[in-house]
Amino acid sequence: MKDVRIWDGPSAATDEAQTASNPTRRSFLRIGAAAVGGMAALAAALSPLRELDPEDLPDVEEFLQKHYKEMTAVEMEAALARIRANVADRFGVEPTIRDPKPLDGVEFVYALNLSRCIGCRKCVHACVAENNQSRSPEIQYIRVIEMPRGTLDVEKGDHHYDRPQVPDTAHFYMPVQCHQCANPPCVKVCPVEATWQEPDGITVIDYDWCIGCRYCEAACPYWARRFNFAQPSLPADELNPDMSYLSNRPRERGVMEKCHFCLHRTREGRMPACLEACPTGARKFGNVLDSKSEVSEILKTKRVFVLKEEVGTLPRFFYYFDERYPNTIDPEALVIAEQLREEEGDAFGAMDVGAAGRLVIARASGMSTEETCA
Amino acid sequence: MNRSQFDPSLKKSRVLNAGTMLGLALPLGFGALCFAFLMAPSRVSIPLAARSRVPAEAIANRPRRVALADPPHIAVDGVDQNCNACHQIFASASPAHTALEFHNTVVLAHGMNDRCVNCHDPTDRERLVLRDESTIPFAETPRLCSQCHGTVYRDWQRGTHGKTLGSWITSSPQQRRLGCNECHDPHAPKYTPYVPLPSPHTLRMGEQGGVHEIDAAKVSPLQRHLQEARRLSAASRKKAAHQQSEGVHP
Repeated sequence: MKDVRIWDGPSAATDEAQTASNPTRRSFLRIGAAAVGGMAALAAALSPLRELDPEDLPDVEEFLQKHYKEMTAVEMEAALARIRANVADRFGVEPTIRDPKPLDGVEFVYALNLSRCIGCRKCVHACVAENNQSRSPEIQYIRVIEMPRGTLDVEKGDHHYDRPQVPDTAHFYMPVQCHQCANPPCVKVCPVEATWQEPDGITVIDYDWCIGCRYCEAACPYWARRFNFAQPSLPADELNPDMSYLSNRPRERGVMEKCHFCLHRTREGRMPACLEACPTGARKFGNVLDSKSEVSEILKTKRVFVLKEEVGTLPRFFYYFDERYPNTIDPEALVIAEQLREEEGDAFGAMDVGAAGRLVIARASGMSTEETCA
Repeated sequence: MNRSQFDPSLKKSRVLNAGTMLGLALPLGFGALCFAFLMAPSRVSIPLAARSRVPAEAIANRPRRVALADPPHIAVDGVDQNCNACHQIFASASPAHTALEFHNTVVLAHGMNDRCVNCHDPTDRERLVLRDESTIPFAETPRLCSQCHGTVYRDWQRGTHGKTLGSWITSSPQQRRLGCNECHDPHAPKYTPYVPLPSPHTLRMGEQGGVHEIDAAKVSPLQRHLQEARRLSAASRKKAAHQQSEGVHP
């Protein structure tokens, strides 16, 4: 049997031999059409280049810049100088940009009290103001999920809730941000190692190394990563000039970003911006390796859980409850107190609160007044 | 194997065989695509939601309320006065008396704790009184509150209740744990509702309104499927019940 050809039959070999010396009309058409088609395909593939904005192109220094972990101190200084000049050029503000390193013997942990969170979203907007996120389109690291009381079903959750007042009595509120996992799926999927976990537990991104493939966004079970689809817009008067290389320096179109526990603040001993804005003290931050820190106390004494424990990410972000929730007065006690007030008159009013309380408890448990006072 | 090899009648129509057709159609297709791409508008317009502005005031870093200084003083008719400036001259009403003639802006909503002298020392108004009738300065307010709110006081001491500002470093002199009255109004300690700051409007997050419980079926295919399944099973149960009842009472 001769060689098998799929589309030309047995005479193809002679056909080709003919073509080389004396092209037929058919072979001319075929090759010509293929060439035109190829050119057209190339043009079509290149057509998105027309949309390339010269601003999107990196300058030579940025293009040649090494990965964060490979940069020497001198190279980092040069990179910081370049960013400083860029920011000054773009926003007219001279930033104090630096590269704070992780502290020894420190592992950051966040704890959030679900009994106290009222869903006011102050943390969300304090974070945006601190970390120079794009204002329009809007990028926010924290998502406050409103869920019906008695459930913990994020599928039924809503983060777009728009109520005249919070908290709503039928719902509870659960802010979700980057959990800084000890076993981070987002780091594993990054094809270029543009994101990694630092020794203090914070997962960071080198914005100059990120290629914008969004694999990490898909891998994150906490919806924590955000992508800059468009050139981030940030009014110059809202720029926070207190910035660092790995955290809140201005980002470009096409890179990923996420919460980094405000590392430019926390690595210098300060609190994260979301914690400072919280009006209820529901947010707690600290060093889990310090047994006296607030987060260590919470892990020791409170009922703590992590979100989606079953996915095995080992988050450094814990949710906890207080003993009693909601924090209200027992309505029965109020009724009894009112009865006592009527019976005893001013004598009840003149009692100090402890004695009145004992009386109410006694009445509630069925004892007579004489028994209690004796 | 090509049929033309065995069937001489097909040899003449080789110009129309599948390969040639494909060879012509593909470039033509590419050409059409190319034309479409080049005719498309050069810039993809991304619809952007109007941004929601948040006043810096709303997210300022400071305690929720300003507690009275120690020793306390308030403005009376625009003049800053210590408490005892008046209280050592004028006698206070009886402890059982609740209608306030002065300080009538104070809203008292502290549960059954509704007498001034439960907390304020009747003789020295610049100090607070404990249940054993010893007095403490205003700066030690948490000790007063701890008499009733024991578990919360214990949590506050550990740092698991309340707010800490300044630094997360436990040994840092900047670390400061706020007192009870820097978040709670001692006269009405329950938090009043807040107006929430604007909800997110990210294009990626889809339309505003989210997945509410009521219209979950509209949005989620799973919910739609479940609802349909529930409806069918309810219908079949009803049918079965109907048949059964017919069987019993023909």
